Amino acid sequence: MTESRILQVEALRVAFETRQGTVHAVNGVDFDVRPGDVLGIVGESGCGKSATLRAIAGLTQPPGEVTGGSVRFADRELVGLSRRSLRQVLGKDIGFISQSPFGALNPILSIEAQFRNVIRAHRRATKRECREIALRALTDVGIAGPDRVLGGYAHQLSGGMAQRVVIAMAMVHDPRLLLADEPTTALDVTVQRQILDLVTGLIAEAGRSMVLVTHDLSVVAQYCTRVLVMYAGRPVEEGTVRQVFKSPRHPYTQALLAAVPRVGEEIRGLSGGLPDLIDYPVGCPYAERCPRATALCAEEMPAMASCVPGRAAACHHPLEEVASYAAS
Amino acid sequence: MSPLARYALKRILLLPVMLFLVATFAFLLVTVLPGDPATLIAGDFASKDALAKVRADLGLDQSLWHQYTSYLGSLLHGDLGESFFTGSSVTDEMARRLPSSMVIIVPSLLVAVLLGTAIGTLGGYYRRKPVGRSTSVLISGIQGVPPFFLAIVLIDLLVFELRIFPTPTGMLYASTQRPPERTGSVVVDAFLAQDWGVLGDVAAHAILPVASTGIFLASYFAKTVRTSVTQALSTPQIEFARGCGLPERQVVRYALLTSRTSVLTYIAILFGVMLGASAIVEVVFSWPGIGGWALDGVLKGDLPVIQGFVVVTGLIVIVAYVVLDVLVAALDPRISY
Ligand SMILES: Nc1ncnc2c1ncn2[C@@H]1O[C@H](COP(=O)(O)OP(=O)(O)O)[C@@H](O)[C@H]1O
Ligand code: SF4
Ligand SMILES: [Mg+2]
Repeated sequence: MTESRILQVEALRVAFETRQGTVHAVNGVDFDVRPGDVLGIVGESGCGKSATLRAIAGLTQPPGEVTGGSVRFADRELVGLSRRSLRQVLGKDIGFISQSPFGALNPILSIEAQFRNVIRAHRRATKRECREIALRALTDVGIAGPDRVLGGYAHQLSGGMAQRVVIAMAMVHDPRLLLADEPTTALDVTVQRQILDLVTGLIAEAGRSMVLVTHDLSVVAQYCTRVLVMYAGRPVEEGTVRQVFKSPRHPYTQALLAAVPRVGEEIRGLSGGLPDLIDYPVGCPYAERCPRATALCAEEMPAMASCVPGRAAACHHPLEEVASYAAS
Repeated sequence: MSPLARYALKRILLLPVMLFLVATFAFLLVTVLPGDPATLIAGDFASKDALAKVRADLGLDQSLWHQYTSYLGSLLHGDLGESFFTGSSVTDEMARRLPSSMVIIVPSLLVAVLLGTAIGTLGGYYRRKPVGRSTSVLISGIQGVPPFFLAIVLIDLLVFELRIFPTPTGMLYASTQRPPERTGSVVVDAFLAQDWGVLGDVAAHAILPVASTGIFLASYFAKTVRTSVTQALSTPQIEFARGCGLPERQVVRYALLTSRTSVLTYIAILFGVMLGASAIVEVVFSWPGIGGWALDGVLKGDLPVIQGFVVVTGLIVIVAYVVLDVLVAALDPRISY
């Protein structure tokens, strides 16, 4: 069983030490990723998606700190690994793409020089070999004039092109797992789709896996196989995209789905805000906003409970399964 | 012509205009300074006739406009006038002393950049570790100690106690055989004569003034580098570099690249500051540079010296800034000219 799981995240916790107190940003996140999975992590802004993704890649920056839990990649524990050992894995077996393509690229070095550094981080290669590898990688991400791009600088690229370059760099060593944090938020809608088509295509091609952080449920619906819904740093629901979208069990998931504007429909915004992450609630963090909340909810934290393997929700009073799924 | 060359040319063509402004500023500065030069030269008890004669000799009886145009005319010929007190040509004096000052200023800046970048990088990279915190203490410590005080401590310890360095009495030993005089500047003459012995002596004497100035200036570079490295390390750019598995030394290099412009700017600014403020170190080490000489001129009210000093250092600083601008443009692909 273990071999089929490329990534296992267990009880992961991240906290930020601030002047106001300790911000509990990630509070016990568990999930698995299997080869071929595209796992979408969704939730409102500030619910700990980025913090989770960074913690997995060992990129948590002070004042943030991974305060507990485990991240196993191909049966190797990553939490607590030294930067030196971690860097052998990053970029090689795990690719990482961040939100802003322009932010990610070095503004002063040429694209070719940056490619060379990325390639040489994991293998020996002459300048010429690096160039060839880079040209191929750029062609793979659908860049028509790779020569020109290679000789240029980040600021000469459009947003979509820059993100393609970033993807090409992140995937130049054929990582088995790609971590992407809202990779298209900074781009306009048509380009967003092109980029997501491209990335998920590359992932599917080679049986690779991906964790895709997004706040856009339509992206999850279109591109992901599985989804993890987060609230206040905790997972509240997990399952296949079909299961969760058809038949949400957690009231928060239901609210999220209802807030997605359909054609001709008004956006029904979520009322209220996230709970205090410093003085974290003892009970269900969603209780304040939940229409189903009872006295129990305010007192006791609901744990993730699965009804079917791979399908779980953290709620004392979950919504009924739609019949067809309850049966399956 | 490449865009960069065109940009450089544009900046260079502006130089004469800026020099003209500096020259005008120096002229006005001297005319508004309090005190009467004639009294200064002839003495407080000079007769009216004597004063009038001195005035006429200096051209002070002419209209201000006439004085200004003749001043600009001489300037065009490289003539900065003569010192009121020694009668020596200001141009010659500057030519003789400027190279000596550069022997301190340029290496000091070099030391400061290297040392400051190293300290600042350590401070930024290990900002949450004891190493990083101790660099902050070090930086503020250095900034709290005036460079002349550091110089005196170094002289006391390394010259008089440990006898490692020569006594702080100028650039040469009493016994040094001077090179044949051609330009008047010992440093330049020694170069022209390829007299390495003399240059070695100069170097031996320069170490302590360079060290004390360089260490002091290093604190400024350390501060700016620490700030920009700290900032850079929390950018998505560094996150992506690490996410690609770049080794930490590359990561630090990426972070340092972003501080390149501010370091260059500091070099130009501190170079200008040092041209004007090298006096104290020169006095402490009896160094025959422009700083001590200009300070003397200011204290005595030697107007041609002050004027000449302002014009020449102004010109050098302006040129340094042009070089800086072109360099920054050349090093940063984002700047379009
Ligand atoms: N540098 C930081 N200092 C303090 N708190 C932070 C910092 N970064 C993130 N947080 C907190 O961690 C929580 C999760 O942030 P994040 O993972 O970026 O959310 P998301 O990506 O889901 O929008 C936020 O509520 C935020 O307040
Ligand atoms: S546990 Fe209670 S408060 Fe929390 S989501 Fe379920 S019903 Fe709502
Ligand atoms: Mg985020």
